[in-house]
Amino acid sequence: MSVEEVVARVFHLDVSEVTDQASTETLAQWDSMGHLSLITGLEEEFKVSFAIVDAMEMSSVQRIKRILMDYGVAT
Amino acid sequence: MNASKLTDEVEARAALGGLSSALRLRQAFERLIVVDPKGAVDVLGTHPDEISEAGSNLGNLLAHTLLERKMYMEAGRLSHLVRQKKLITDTTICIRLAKALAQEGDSEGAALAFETALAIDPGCIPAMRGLYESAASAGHSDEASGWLTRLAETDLSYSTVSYVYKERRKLPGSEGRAVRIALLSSYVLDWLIPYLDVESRKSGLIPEFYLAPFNQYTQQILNSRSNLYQFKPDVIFLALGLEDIFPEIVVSAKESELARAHVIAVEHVLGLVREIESNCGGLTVVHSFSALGRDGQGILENRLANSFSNWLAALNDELAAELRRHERSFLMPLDAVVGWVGRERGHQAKMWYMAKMRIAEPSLPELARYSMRYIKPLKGLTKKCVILDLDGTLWGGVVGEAGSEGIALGPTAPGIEYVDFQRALLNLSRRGILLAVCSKNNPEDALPVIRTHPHMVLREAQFAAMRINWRSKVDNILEIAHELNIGLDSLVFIDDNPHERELVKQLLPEVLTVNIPKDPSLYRRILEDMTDFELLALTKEDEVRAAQYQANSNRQTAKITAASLNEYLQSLNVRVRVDFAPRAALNRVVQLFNKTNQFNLTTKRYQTEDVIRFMESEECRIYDLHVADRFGDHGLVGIAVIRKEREDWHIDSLLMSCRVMGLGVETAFLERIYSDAVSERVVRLIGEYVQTKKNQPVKEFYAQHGFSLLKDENGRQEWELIVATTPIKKPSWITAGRGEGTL
Repeated sequence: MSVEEVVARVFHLDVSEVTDQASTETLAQWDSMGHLSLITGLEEEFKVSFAIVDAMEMSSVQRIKRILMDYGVAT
Repeated sequence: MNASKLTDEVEARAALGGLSSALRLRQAFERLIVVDPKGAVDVLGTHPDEISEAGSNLGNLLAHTLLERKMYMEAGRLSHLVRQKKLITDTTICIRLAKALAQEGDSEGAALAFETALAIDPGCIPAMRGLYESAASAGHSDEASGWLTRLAETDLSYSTVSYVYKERRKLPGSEGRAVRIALLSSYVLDWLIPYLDVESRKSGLIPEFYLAPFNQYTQQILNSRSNLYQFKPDVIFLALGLEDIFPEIVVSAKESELARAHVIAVEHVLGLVREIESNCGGLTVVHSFSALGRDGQGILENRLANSFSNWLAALNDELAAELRRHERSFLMPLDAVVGWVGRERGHQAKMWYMAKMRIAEPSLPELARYSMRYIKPLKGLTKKCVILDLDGTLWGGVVGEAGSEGIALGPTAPGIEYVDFQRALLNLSRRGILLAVCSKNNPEDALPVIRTHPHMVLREAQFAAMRINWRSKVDNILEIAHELNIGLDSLVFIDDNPHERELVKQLLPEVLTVNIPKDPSLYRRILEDMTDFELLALTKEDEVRAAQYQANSNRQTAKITAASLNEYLQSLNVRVRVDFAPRAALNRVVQLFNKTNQFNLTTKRYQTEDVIRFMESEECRIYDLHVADRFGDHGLVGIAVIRKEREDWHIDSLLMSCRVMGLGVETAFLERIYSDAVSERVVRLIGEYVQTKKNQPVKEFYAQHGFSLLKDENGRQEWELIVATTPIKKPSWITAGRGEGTL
């Protein structure tokens, strides 16, 4: 699954609705609780465990992709 | 090729049929989609079957193209077309089609496309959401509510459950009994609320919630005019994390700190409970204290009297003992609830550190379900009677066909699953839940099983009513309800036959019909998972409501508490009975010959005709072994075949079920053969051992009983015992008998 697909699955959206710019600002479902679900979803999908500093930084699809790269995950 | 020629070709090919034609049809249709999508929809309307057979992807492709070109009129027509036929196979395309149509105002076309997605994948969440949204916006609130219920049944992820929770609050209030639930916690428990909402509504309750502001639980409890008490809760859940009260001891603790913390924790909790009790009449449920990590002292943890885990157990024990004196306050075994899910998944370190979320998402459904065990009896939702089918439910097989001997019910599988299910039902009976039988059988077939089958746990005394006849179960259930004077909404119906279940569900929707799976090994679990049989207190009347019955206690527990093996064995009250195997035992004997691997000296797989020969022959003798102990009757568990040769007895076969290994009963079995040999003036017993991959456990069997080795070749050994010089004595803890009824 791509990052977009994980975001779409967690927030019940169509993948086409999830762009690189999608963020806590643009998606209503991406609130603080939703963020924790998303972190869990990403960790399960990409088999990583994010440090909390990184987990807190992941407020947009773009940022998620950048941080995943730091964890050696190609997206 | 232009559009009209392509259309002609598609139509011609469709009319022609056949494989090569299907290939051409597909190619022509694919080109038509590109050249003239509108025409493609027309042709699809006239030849749906041929086109769907020609290529499973054609409908997907057409939908995709229409959406790309924003041809929404045609997309709407396509949506109508695809409903019956399997023209679209991809849920993603369906959802995209549906959303585009909804946006264009074609709500009917959108609904059809969502329904198509659900037909492809009954668990398609976006389709359910879409159908919910269209029902909600059309003002059909019952239908909308139904879709929310289905969403929550399909997916228990937080994102779905919280969506359902939020949307539910936008719909006009539905009918039902209200329940007011307050959550007080030292950590973040907000996530539990949507799950409690879903669970409450499943039982027909309409919940209202009060969540104390973060870390304000003490103030809320101590202030008699707090929002908590103004909320007038029916039930208060008090969830405290040791990490919040004693951060210094939970990972690494000193003895002196633990002793102090124990006193403080008990006082803290009891103080809060007393305060709540004096300020409101609700039920208080305190989560027991639990640990987040592993034992700090490793394997020494339970050897050190003052270890953290010993301290934690003692703390919870004391709280339980104290709260036992409070009628309306309970201790919920949190570790058992989270442990059911798995502690590794149930607590997640990051969620705890980052969000103070001590109980992680995977635990929330189970925690909500468990919480209902307190809420349901409080709201009078405890079921009063379980109505049970017989064949396939209380035992395996059909007694009318297989007979009492042929049904699966006994201490081995298949059969043990049903015994355990009956035992779990017996637990309900002991706390005053009535049991009843409703079964389509001839009473003369079924009643003898209930009355005399040796492994039936539930007898007539446990059944408050019985309907064993060929009438409709609906009529029988109505009669039982009337006879016991119980409302239909207090009845539970358990039947392995899906047709009977469906009928009862349709005609008696107030009755809770349990969807039991085909696999009987899940029956017990399904019953124990149900939250409908809880009592807040056990009264004398509850205990005597059903007949008394001393069931088997847990063998494992007894094993641990016995001081030594010998003492344990003495305490078991092991009894054996050895007989010449009778014809009635034929099936069981053949079964044992063919499935016993470990305790089997020669592993000869005799069949029915062989066994009959042994039973009838003068040259042979076949013994059977029955074992019982204080846990119950294990039944026929061992066989020996003796071949008489002049003055010797050859032990041709000797085998025993591994369930009774380790009790010494094999020696008692051999003693009987030995004493018969003595009285019949036999000179030698000759034992045979044939090695297999699995019978290592009995390699030393004859050596251990004083036999000496005669021959050893290619894994086959022969042992001899001189009857006059080497006696065989059974262990002191075993009582032996012979003849029916001596166990």
